[in-house]
Amino acid sequence: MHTLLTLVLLIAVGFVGSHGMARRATRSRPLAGLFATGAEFLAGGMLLGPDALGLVPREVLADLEPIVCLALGWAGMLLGIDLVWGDLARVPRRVHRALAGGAAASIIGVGVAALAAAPHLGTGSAPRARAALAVVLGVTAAISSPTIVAVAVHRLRARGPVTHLLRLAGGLGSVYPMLAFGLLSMFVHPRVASVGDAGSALVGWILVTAAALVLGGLMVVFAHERVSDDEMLLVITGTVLMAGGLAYAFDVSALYIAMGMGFVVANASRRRHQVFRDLVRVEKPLFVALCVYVGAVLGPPGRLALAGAAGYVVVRVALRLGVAGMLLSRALEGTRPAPWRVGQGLVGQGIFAVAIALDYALANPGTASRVALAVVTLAVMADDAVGYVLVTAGLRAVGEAAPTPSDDSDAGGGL
Amino acid sequence: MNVARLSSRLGTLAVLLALALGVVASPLAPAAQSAELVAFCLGFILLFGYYLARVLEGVHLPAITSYILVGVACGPYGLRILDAGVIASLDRLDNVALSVIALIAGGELRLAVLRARARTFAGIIAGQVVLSFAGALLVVALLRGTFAQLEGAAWTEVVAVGLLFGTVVVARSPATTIGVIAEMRAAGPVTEVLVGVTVLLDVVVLVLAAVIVPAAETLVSGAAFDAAFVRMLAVEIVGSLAAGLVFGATLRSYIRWVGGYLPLFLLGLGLVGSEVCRAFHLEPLLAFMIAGFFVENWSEHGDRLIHGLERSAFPVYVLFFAVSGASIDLAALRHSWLVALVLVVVRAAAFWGGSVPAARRVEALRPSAGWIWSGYLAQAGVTIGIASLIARRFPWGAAIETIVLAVVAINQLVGPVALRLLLERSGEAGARPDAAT
Repeated sequence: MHTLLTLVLLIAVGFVGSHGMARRATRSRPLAGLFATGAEFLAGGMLLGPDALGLVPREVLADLEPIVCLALGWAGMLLGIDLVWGDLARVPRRVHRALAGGAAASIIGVGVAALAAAPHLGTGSAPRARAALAVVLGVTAAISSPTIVAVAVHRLRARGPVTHLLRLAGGLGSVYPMLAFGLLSMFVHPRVASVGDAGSALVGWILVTAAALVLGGLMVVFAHERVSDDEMLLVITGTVLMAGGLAYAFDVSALYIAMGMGFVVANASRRRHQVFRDLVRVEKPLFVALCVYVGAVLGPPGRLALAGAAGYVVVRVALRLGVAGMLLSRALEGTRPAPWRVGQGLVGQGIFAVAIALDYALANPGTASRVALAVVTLAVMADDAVGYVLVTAGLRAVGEAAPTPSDDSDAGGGL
Repeated sequence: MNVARLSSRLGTLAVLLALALGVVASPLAPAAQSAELVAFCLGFILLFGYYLARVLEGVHLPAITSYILVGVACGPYGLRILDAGVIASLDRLDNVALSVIALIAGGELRLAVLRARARTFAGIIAGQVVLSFAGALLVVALLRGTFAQLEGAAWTEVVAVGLLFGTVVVARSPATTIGVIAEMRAAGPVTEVLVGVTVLLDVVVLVLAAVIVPAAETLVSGAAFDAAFVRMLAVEIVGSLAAGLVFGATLRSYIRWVGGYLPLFLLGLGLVGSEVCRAFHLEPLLAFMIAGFFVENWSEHGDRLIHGLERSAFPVYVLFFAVSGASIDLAALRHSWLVALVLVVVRAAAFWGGSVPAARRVEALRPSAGWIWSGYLAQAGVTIGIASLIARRFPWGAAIETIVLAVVAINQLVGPVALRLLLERSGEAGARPDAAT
C-alpha cells in the first residue's frame, strides 16, 4: 500500500503541477525565477522522499528509474534538435566565441574550486572522486537558464541588442557545456584506467559519440516514413529509452547521447518539426516527474550540502557576472553596456543543470555524484531566485524594458 | 511494397537487432533486472515491434501478431533479449497496458447494443459454453490413456479434469480481440457481437472458475464442497465491479473538471488502479472494463475517453503483446503439442457450433454467421491465471497447466490472424467513421 500511496501522490503532484498551479504561483513576482524552473517540485520531492515524510520509499524510486531515464533522454533530445547547422552558422562567430569562452571560464573556475573543496564535502581524497565532482560542478556552473530570461523578457516586454544576445545565450548556452561534459566525463569514467589516461578517455568519447550518431541515424530512418503523431511519439520514446538504457548500462551520459541523436535528427530528417512538436507535447509532465524524483532522492539538505551550495553559488555568480558577462558584452556591436549588466542575464541556471548532475549520478552512483547532485540542486534553487531579479534589473538598467510590463506569466515550466 | 523499401526496412531491423544482441550479450552489460537494461529492452521492443508490424502489414498480418512474434523471438525461448528478469521488471508497465486495453474494451460496449443484442449474446455464450465443456469432457475421456496421472483413475476424477479443461477452453483474450478490432478500425454488427460476447464471457469465466474448481476438488478427493473458495471468488468479482465503478467515476470527474493531458491521466489511473487491484486481490481486467463501460454509458464523455485511449493505446499494444509473446511457453508447446492441437481443434469446433444457430437468427449477422467463431480463438491472461490456479490446487495440476499453456501458445498465434480475416471478410474492417485518419 506504501507504493500505491506514493504513486497516487506522485501523480497528483504531477497533474497539479502541469495544470496551472505553477502558472498562478509564477505571478508571485519576487519568487518568479523559482517557480519558472520548477523549484516547487524539487522541494515537494524533498518533503515526500524517504529522508523526510517517507511517502516515496527507496524501492519506488528504483522502479521509477526507467521513467527518469526517459525524461533525461527527452531533455537531451530537446537540446539537440535545436541545433540546426544552418541556424548555428547564422549566429555570429564572436557570439560563439563568447559563449564558449564564458563556458570554459565557468568550468575551469568552479572545477578548480571544487577540486580544492572536494575532501571537505565528504567525497574523500581519491583523485577520481575529486575529479568527478569538479567535472560535474564545473559543467553545471556553465549552464544558463533560457526560461528565466524568457520569463523576464516576456514580463518586461524587453527589446534590444542585449535582450537578443541573452536569448541567444540562453538557447545556445547549454551546448558548449554539454559538449565539454561528454568529453570530460570520459576522463573520470570508472572504466578508464586513471584520471589522466587521455587515450582511453578519447576512445571512450569517440565510441559514445558514434553510438549517439547511430541511434540518431536509426531515428532518422524510422521518421523517414510517413508516420502519425502517435507513431512518432512511439519512435521517439523507443529510441530515447534505448539510448538512456545503453548509456547507463555502460556508465556514460544519456543526456549527451540523446543530444547527439537530436542533432542528427535536426540536420538529417525532413520530419524535424514533427519530432520537435512531439517532444514538446510530453515535456512538461516528464519535467515535473524529474524534479520530484530528484527532490525525493536527495531529501532535506544537510549542512555540508548547504555549505557546498553556498560556495558554488558565490564562485559561479562571480564568474558569470565577471568573465562570462565581459566576454558576451564584447560580442555586442555598437554601444556596450557594463559587462556585469550583461552577466546578470547569465546567473539563472535552470533545471537542465540538475539534469546533468542527475545524469552523472545515474551513470556513476557514488558519494561524489550524490554530493554533486545535492550541491547543484540547492544552487539551482538559489540561482534561479536571484537570477530572475538580476536579469530583470539588468534589462531595466540597459533601457530595454518596456514602460508597462506584461501581466501574463505563462513562459515557464521547461528544462 | 517495392523491393528497395523492403530491403531498407529489413536492414533497419537487422541493425536494431544486432544492437540489442550486442548490448545484452556484452560482458560489460549489467544484470537483467537492472533499471538501465529494462529501459533499453523496453525501448527495443517498442521500436522493433512497431517496425516489424510495418514490414509484415505487407502480408496482411495483424500488427498484434507481429508484436507477439517479436516477444516470442526475443523472449526466453528465443534470442533471450527479454529474459525472465526483464519480463518480471516490466510487470508494472504490463499491468498499466492491460488496464488501458480493458478500458477500451469496456468503452466499446454500449448499453443500447447490449439491450438490442441481448438474446444473440446469450445464445452465443450459452452455445459456446455448453459445447466447450462437452468437447473438453469428450477429449479427456477419449485421451485419458495419454495422461499418465489419470491411469486407473475413477470416472469422477476424469470428469473433474474434463470440467477444468472446459473452463480454460471457454476463456479467451478480450485484450487481443480489442487490439485487433482497434487496429482494423472495425465497426458493424459482427464487431459488436465479437466485443459483447468476449467481454461478457470474461465475467462468465470467472463465475465458472468459482464454481468448478471447488466442485472438481470435491470430485477428486471426495471432501466437502469448498464454499470458502466460492466466497473468495465472489468477493473478487463483486469487489472488481465496485472498484471499476470507482475508477469510472474518477475518470468521469477528471474528464469533466480537468480534461487536459487525458492520455497521461489514463496511464496514471492504470498505474494506480492496477496497484489497488493487486493490493485487494481484485481482477484488474474486469475492474477497468467496468470503468470504461461506466464512462461510455453513464456520461457524455465516452467519445473523449475513446479518443484519449486511442492516443495512449499504440505503445501500450506493442508493449503488452510483445511481453505476452515473450511469456508464451514454447517448452510446453514442444512437450504437449499433440494433445494441445486436439483441444484447439475441438475448441474451434465448439465455438463454431455454439455461434452459428444464434448468429443465423439475426439478419445483419447472417452473411458472416458461419465464420464468427474464428473471431473468438485468441487466448491469454485469464486462461493462464486459471491454469496456474489448477496447478496449485490439484495433484496433476502441473500437467494440465503445461497442456493449457501449449493451447494458449497456438491460439494466441492463430487467433489474431483469424480475427483479422473475419473482419475483412465481413466488410467491417476500416468501417469506423474516423477510419480515414
